[in-house]
Amino acid sequence: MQEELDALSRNKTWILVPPPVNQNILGCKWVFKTKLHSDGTLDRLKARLVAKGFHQEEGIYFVETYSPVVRTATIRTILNVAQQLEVGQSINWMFKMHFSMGIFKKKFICINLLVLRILFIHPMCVC
Amino acid sequence: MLGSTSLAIFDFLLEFGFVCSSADPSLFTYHNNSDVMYLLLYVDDILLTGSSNTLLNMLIFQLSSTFSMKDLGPVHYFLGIQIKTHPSGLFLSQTKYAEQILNNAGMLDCKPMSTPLPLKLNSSVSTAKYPDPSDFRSIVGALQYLTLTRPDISYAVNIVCQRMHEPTLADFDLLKRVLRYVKGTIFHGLYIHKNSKLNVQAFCDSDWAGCTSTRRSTTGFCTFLGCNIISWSAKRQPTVSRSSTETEYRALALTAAELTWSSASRSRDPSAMNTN
Repeated sequence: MQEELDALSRNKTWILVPPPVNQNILGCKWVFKTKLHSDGTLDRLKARLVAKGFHQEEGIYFVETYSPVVRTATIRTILNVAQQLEVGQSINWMFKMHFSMGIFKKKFICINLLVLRILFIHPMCVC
Repeated sequence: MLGSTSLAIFDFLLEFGFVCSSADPSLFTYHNNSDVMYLLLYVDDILLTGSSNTLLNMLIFQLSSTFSMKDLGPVHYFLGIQIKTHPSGLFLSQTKYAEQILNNAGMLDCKPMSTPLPLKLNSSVSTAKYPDPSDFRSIVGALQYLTLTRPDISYAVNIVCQRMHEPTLADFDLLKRVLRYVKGTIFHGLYIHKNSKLNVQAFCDSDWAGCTSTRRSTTGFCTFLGCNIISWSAKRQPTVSRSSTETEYRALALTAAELTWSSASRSRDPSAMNTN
C-alpha cells in the first residue's frame, strides 16, 4: 500500500482542492491482491487505488468517449471531394487551422478519504 | 488527450449545424440546401473545405472569435503530408518525412533499388537475431506512417512489420531493401485529380497460403473514388484457408467492409452505416 502511495505521489497524480458544489465526486477504493509465484509461494501483496468509475454515467457527466484521431482514408476522401467541389474555381478553398490546446485538466474528481486518513491531511479535501 | 478545448469545439460545431459522421468521429459535415462544408478535426488541427466561400468565411470568423486559433490559410501541410496545388489537382507527398526516415536509419546516401522486395521471400536464410530490435521496430514504425501516401510500399511494409517481434539479420536486409526503394522513389506520392466522378470502385486479390511458415494467405485491396485512390491495404488473413476460393472470398468480404465504410463516410445520413 505504501508502495502504491509512493508511486502516486511521485507521479503527482492529484492536487488537493476543496470539494466543488456543482460537481459529482467519485469515490475510490483500495484493491488488494495476493500475487503468487507459479509454485504457489507468495510473491507480493499488491495494493492499488482505483476510482469508482461507475459513479459517473454516460450522457450525464460525460458524453461519448473516443480518440480524436482520423482515419487516413478520410483525409484522402475529403481532399478528393474538395477537389471535385470547386471545379472551375481558381482558388482552393481549403483551410488549415490550429488552435492552442487548453491545459489538460483533471477528468474527474475523486474523494480520497481513505488516502487522506493515511496521509493525515485535512479530510474535507478532494483530489 | 481530449482537453476541454476539444470538447468545447465539438459543442460549437454541433451548434453551428454540423453533423458528426458515424463513420469517423473526427469528420463533421454541414449541409444547407446546396451548400456543403466538411471539417476534419485532428486533435488540434482543423482541415476545412466547402462549396461556398461566404459560408466558410463566416465559420472561420466565428471559430476564431470563440477560440484562440490560428488560420494557416490554404493548406500546404497536414499531418506531415505535403499538399501541392496544381491546376489539375492536388499532389500529396511525404518527401521530407521519407528523408527523415532515411537519415535516422543512416541510409541517406544509399544506392536506390527499383523494387521494394525480392521476388521470392525465403524465410529461413539466417536465424541470427538482429542485435537491436527496438531500432528495427522504430524504422518499421516510421515506414508504416509513410504508407499514408504510398500504396506501392504497403505490401513490403506489411512484410517487415510481421518480423517486428523478433527480427533476424535477414529481416534487416529486407528492411534495408525497402529503404533503398524509398530512396529511389522519394518524390513519389499521390495525385488527386480534379473533375473526377464520385463513384466508388474497389479491386481486391489474394494469394493462397503465401506465407510458408503459417500457411496463411494475404489479401490486398484498393478502393477508388472516381479515378483517385482512397484506401488500400495488404494484410495477412487471420485464419488458414483451405481453398483458393475461400481466400478470395475473405478478401472480398474485407473489401466490402471497407466499401461500406467508405460510402457511409460520404453519406449525409448518419445511419447509412447500418443500412448498407
